[in-house]
Amino acid sequence: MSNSLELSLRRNEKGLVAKIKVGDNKAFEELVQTYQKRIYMIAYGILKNESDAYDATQDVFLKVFKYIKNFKENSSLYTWMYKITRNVSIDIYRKKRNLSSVEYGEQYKNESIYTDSVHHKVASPIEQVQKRELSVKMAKAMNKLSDDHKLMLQLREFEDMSYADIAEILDISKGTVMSRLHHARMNLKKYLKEYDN
Amino acid sequence: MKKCDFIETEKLTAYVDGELNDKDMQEVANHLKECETCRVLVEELEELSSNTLFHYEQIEHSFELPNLIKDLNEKLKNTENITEEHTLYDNIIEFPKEKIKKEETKANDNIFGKIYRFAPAIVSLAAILLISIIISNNKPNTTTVNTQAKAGDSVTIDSLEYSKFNAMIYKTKDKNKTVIWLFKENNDNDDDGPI
Repeated sequence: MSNSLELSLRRNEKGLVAKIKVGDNKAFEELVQTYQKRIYMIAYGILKNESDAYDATQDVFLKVFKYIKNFKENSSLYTWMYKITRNVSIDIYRKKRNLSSVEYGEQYKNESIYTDSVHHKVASPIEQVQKRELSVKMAKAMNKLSDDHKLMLQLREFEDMSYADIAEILDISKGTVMSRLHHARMNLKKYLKEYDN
Repeated sequence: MKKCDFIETEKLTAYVDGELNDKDMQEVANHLKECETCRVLVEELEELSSNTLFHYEQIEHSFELPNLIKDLNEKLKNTENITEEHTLYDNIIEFPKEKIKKEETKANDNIFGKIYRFAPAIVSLAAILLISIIISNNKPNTTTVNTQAKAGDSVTIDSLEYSKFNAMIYKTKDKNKTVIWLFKENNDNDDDGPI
């Protein structure tokens, strides 16, 4: 959850879903705008290829548009979309069978992306340097993590999902979620220390 | 720093995430007051959590998908067109089949339709049944008339003689029934009777 607009949209998820179900295209556009990047990032995490991730993102939203009437709302909309994203991405991956050697987040290492305009506040020069350093350090450490651990951290930290939601999505127990998440963090800590040294 | 054996480190992860039940949350909170090792680890975990979020936010804001909605609309439009064409095509091609199917369905749904479908069989059965009834009714009647008829009570209407058989036609007196007797032309067997 990265900004207040998304927060409010997520709170209004039920309303959004109801509108899309009755064919409100504007609501569907809102949904796409809200989730497109996160869907893309999940797809990219699996496919490791920008073009494939883009295709997957499109397929996901086409499926959401087509099948939202079947969405029972037993889980959150994002959980449902995440499952679609995972299935679509795995399908594309199986079809292509040529996993790129590009590491996850490789293209995001460019320092130009770490601008403070993102945070809607003016950072001091020292803060800017610190954040750039942190960003580069994090990107390098994250790249060393296994795909499973990256996914765990993304779902927990970025998507703010509960252990129960993650367990449901990945079809594992809550205990496994806790254990995997803990190891992901421990490994991340280790890699960050390696970078410092 | 000294390792703590009192609490599993995984539990500290769940504590940071607020995923423990109330009792365990309280237990860890109490432990943290006394254990510096765990306290430091919890602080590190919280910092990691915050930095990970920062990392993903950086990624999220490092790219745009400006054409996604446009591309999606295009795809949706194409899908709709294909669906429409498909529907039209289906209507043209499938109409006679559909019509037949609908009529069949109607016929199946209607009791008279079902009877209509089985009419030839029903008529055949009815005919067989009718013939059987006629035969079974006629046979005993004929016999009954014959056995109950007393000599002299009946009037012979006509008699016929052919090469293969002879026939006599009687009319009973009381019930006014017509009885036809056929006699086989068989000299060796006198036990003849109505055929």
